[in-house]
Amino acid sequence: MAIKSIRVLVRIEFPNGATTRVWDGAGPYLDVDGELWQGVRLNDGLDQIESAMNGEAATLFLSVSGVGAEGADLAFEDLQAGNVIGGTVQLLIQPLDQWDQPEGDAEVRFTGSIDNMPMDDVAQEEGIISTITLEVTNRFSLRALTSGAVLSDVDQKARSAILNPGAPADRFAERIPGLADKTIVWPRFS
Amino acid sequence: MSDVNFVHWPTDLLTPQSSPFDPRAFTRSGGRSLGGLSRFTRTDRGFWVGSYKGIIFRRGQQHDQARAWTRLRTDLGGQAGLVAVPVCSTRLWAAEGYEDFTPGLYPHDDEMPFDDDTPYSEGRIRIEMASFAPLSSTVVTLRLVDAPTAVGIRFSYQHAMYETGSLIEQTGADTFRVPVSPAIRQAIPADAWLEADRPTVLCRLASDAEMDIEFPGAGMPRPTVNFVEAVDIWNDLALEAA
Repeated sequence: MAIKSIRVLVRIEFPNGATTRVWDGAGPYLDVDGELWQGVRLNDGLDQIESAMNGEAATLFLSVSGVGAEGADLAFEDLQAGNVIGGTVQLLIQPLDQWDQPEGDAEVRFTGSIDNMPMDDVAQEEGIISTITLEVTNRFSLRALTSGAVLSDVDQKARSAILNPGAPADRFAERIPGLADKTIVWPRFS
Repeated sequence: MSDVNFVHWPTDLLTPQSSPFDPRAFTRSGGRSLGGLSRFTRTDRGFWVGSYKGIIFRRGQQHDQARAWTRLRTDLGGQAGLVAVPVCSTRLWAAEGYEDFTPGLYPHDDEMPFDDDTPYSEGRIRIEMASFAPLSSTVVTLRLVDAPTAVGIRFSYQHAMYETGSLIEQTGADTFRVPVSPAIRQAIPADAWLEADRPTVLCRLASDAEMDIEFPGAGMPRPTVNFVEAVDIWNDLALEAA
């Protein structure tokens, strides 16, 4: 039978050890393990999860609204204090039964680390709205290559330094700059 | 933070002609196909959205009412203020033997009223929570002490309002397991009395300009005020307790 309802959970573990749990809903949610999840509205980013699941989308922009001014202030203080960048973000889906009670364990769908946290204040007629966006990357972000781009030696060496620290630099793309502008005449009969 | 400051909407003085309050569920979908088909998945049972429509200003009472209005507006101060809004639900309780919903008025047990000579007021319907309802549960067991049914009704506990769905199971002579919507905002202990005649919702104004009012040169105003449940307060309270 098709699943009628689920809960979308986001767990953020900050470098200072604090854990924040939020979910895409209205009120607070107490899970079977006694952990409390705070209700927020996840605006953007959930649509990217689907592609993130098979590793294609490496960067996830997770935007949260319904954050109080107080919360936004705290978030900014934490960001300044270096408590945000490098944190772990996990996206989980909790299947629910027909009465919206949790059924089984929450399944992890995406794990990444926080790359940046831009904050935005939008002045509208209804008031000033603060949103917090988490830019989350996973290990596939290094593989991301714009369509039509060519490998460059510098990028490849930087990549190998992160993926395989300690090993000698990757020389795979060393000859590419030389080959990029090389003219090959074909056929040559002489 | 544990002492949440809120005001009560004086429904007896500023009475609406209708007070629609409806739950807004959260659903997600992949969009509609060209033929108009779509598949939806619910991610939450949602929150309350409601309004007081056509609040009646009476000729003999309008000065009192206007003063109550400005007082309320000052207390609220826009969307930041919290107000407990009573929602008349006697329609859902009316049944054979349950026709009169005039609240019972009682003094203290030493026959003394409050110091302003008002007695206690008690609703007609009596229901209680039969077993502990944890935070965010969506199924509860209700005990009907003096009430016609547990199905398709509304109740509130500490200004969080819920409505029930169809019966899951009758667990005892007077206890019924029913799904509730929205999810329980704050744990309800077993045997807690629930407000049934006039459940209340802790709300914010839907916009900063919601309490605008205009007194016409002739006739009376019929303002409408829109509310949104103040769910963030329940989040804060839950985090504080955790």
